[in-house]
Amino acid sequence: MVEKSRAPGLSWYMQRLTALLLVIGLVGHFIVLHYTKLYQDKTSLAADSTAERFGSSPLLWLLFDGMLLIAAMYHAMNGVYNIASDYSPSPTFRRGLAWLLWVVGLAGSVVGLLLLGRFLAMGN
Amino acid sequence: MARESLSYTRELAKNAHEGMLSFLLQRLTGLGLVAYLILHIFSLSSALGGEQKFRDSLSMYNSPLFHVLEWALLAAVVFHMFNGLRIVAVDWFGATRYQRMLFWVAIAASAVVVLGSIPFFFMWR
Repeated sequence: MVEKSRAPGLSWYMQRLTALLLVIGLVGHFIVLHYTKLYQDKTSLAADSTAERFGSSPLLWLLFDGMLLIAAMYHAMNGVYNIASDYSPSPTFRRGLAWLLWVVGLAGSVVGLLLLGRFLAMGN
Repeated sequence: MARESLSYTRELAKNAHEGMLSFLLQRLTGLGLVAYLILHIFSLSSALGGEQKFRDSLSMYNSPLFHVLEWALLAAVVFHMFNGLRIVAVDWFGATRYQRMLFWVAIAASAVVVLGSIPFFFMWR
């Protein structure tokens, strides 16, 4: 049976919105961590530069990295759900997967936020 | 899953066009990046055990093998980003007419960034 076409739901918009946030977030992330800081600080990799970065402008980096974390988590979990949806899974499978993805996404976000707190402490 | 991936390759062979290639590459890089994101947060969580643990785990990644993997990660991110921008351009900015050309623009832009990053990843460190 062919599913009736519907207007795109909230998650369709959110996938594209988070995509645009990730363009800003990841380009910044790569420039700061991989192209600039890493090469000034070769031996201890990013530890000193992370501390220095969070020490110099804590609020900016907390917001920037927090935005990146949440956008990436949402985009990744929603992306997996979209891929699974392509295989027309049963409603039970859909519900189970949605639960699992929420748990993984929230757990990852909490660990990520705790890490940002730790980086803030390293900067002080 | 194995049968599905086989049908993807069969589809691509029978019906080779930019849209199919774009779909396949976006899906493969997407799945890879999800796996990486989870590993990335997991490996960084060593910092929760103290600054020394964080330093030790980071120094482990400073090896030629991990530099190559890092560069491969960059390639996946950059392609997924440029091709994703193409998708947003088609969905939100009426660029459907140009989607075929935009796929090659995404490939070219990715190649420039990935090849241009070789000195950063392998020569200047």
